[in-house]
Amino acid sequence: MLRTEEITLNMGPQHPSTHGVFHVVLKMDHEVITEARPICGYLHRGIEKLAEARTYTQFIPYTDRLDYLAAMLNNTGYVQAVEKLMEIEVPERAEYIRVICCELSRIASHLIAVGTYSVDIGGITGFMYCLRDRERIMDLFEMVCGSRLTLSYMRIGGVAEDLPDEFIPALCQFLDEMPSRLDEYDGLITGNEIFQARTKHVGLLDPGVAINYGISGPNLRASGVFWDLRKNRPYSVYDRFDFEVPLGKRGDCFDRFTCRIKEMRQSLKIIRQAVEQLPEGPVMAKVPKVLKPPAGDVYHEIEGAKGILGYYVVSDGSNKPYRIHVRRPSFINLGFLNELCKGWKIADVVAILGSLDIVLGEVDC
Amino acid sequence: MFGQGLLKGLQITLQELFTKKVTVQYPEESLPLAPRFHGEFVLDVEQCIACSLCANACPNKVIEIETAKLDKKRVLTGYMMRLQYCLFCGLCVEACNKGAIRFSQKFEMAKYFRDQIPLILYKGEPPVQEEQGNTGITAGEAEGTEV
Amino acid sequence: MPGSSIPSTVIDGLKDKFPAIEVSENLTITVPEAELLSFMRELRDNPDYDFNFLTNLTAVDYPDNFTVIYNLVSFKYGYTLMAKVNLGKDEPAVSSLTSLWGSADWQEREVYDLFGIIFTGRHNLTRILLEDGFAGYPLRKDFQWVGGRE
Ligand code: SF4
Ligand code: SF4
Repeated sequence: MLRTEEITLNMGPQHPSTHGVFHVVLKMDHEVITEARPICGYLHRGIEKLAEARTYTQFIPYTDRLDYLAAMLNNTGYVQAVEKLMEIEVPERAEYIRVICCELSRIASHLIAVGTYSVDIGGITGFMYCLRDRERIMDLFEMVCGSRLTLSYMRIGGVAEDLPDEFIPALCQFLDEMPSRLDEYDGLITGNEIFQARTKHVGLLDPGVAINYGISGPNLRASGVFWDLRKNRPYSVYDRFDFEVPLGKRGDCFDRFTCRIKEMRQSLKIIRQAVEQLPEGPVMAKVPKVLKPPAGDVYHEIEGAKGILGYYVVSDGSNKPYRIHVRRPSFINLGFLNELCKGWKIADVVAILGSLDIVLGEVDC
Repeated sequence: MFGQGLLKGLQITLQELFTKKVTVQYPEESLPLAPRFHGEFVLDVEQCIACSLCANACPNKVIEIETAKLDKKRVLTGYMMRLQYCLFCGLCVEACNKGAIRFSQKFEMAKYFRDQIPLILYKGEPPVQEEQGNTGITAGEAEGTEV
Repeated sequence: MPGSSIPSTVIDGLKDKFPAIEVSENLTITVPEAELLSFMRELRDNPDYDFNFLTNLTAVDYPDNFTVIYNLVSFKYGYTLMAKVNLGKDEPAVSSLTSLWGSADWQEREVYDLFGIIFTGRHNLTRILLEDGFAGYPLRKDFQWVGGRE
């Protein structure tokens, strides 16, 4: 009988596959994981506390720093929560611009997810291709709001500025070229046999368990659960677009990956429709210069890139929020990591963690 | 057949070899920036009425304005931005209704030493009435910002 | 802005079963601490509501009390519900919901970490974002931070 001993291995805090400063303590029996204890908080900046010392508008730039890969979505979730609290009606054009920007942000975020996942599994080329195309979205954002990553484009009551003239032609060109790029990823990454061997039937996530653990977004849909707030509880103008919600079957790493690629196609479809329907008009509602929402609280959820992004805003009637809490999808999705890794080999931990698509700015808040 | 996917991937990368390059040799060449680009700040001193709207709009207390009273009028004697705290969110630019503080296209703002980071956009005597025509100091000329 | 979107018949049914709950104008339900676990179990297990998704769990430090907020979603019916529990200022403690929803685990730890609210009946209630030796609970209003500037 061989003598076996449980060994402990630290993955991170500095490890390329954790996509940031994140630490997992792995307990292993030979190569099999018996426990994966995630340790987060290395990037905790106390954003919820900082919010209490800032005005409602001043908090917008901080939402960028949560999920910095999809800043538009973070902006939107927050401003919509405050608008709900103040009962502000947003002009149509602003709603459409928001949809366009949000879906672009979703594509940008999924491109990182797809690209880095390819690196995690060992294919550097795929990453380069994804970043090349993401760069074009960054250029589009630069046209719209002057920033590339931390956008701060949404305002309470609308958006900061109208779209510049050169934006729509550039966007249309992007929309025309992107589908063939997605085919490239499919050929380069999805169809690769080594990639499939590493991801198929790995890290299975049961739909019932996923719901119980609050997992949302592509991770939940990959397990076959139809839950996309854009469809199930349409906010903004999402009920006016025709799109599908891609679902997975097995709930393994491969499904989570392909769900994201399929979602990008749907996002392109939404953007195309939004561009066609884009109405003229103002982009900002009439809001007072100093925002003082009535005392009360509101909880608002949107479908973020990583899952359900919720903002809970409490107002005491002053110009500063009394409390802001963010339901960060990455944080809650990560809560299941231990269960998900148990019983898999150490090499699979990288595949599983990558397939969850976390962003540490959001986990640690 | 196993390996077909790999070959497909190789075919895609081979095709890519013959497409146009997307990268540029950075310091020699650079890509065009959008007109709205959030680069380094410039202050139009003549326009600025020292109202501090920009400083109050800033979420991170980046802007420090010094003023003096001149014939019952408030005038600007200093405008300093602690850029190490700046989020480049543009709320200050949006708040200024004189259009005095603006973004420029300059993005190479890295400094060798921390004490060089604060950006002094204006420092000095309050602009006297008749001299007002030539007090426009831009970022590069202001003291303390050279590398 | 309603805190919950559920038909009033459901609310009435809940009121009959739990006379101690209070329903505010905007349909936010305030539950006494003692009944929280049974109330939540009913919400989860009764097929008429089927609140299977605990989406958000957080807390607020009000001047007179702590409030823990639960946001539930029913995938089957599309209902949402906001429930609150008010706790005293000294040694706030509330029953843990980890036995009902796995998603409560990390969120309760976060609330414990930042507010110092104790969740009873669960294991591994440790700090999650801050380091273990951190003194104080930063999201309490009386927390004084050191450092920073000015
Ligand atoms: S860009 Fe934002 S952070 Fe920077 S000075 Fe202006 S308001 Fe302040
Ligand atoms: S830059 Fe504009 S907002 Fe700031 S003090 Fe001058 S005039 Fe006022």
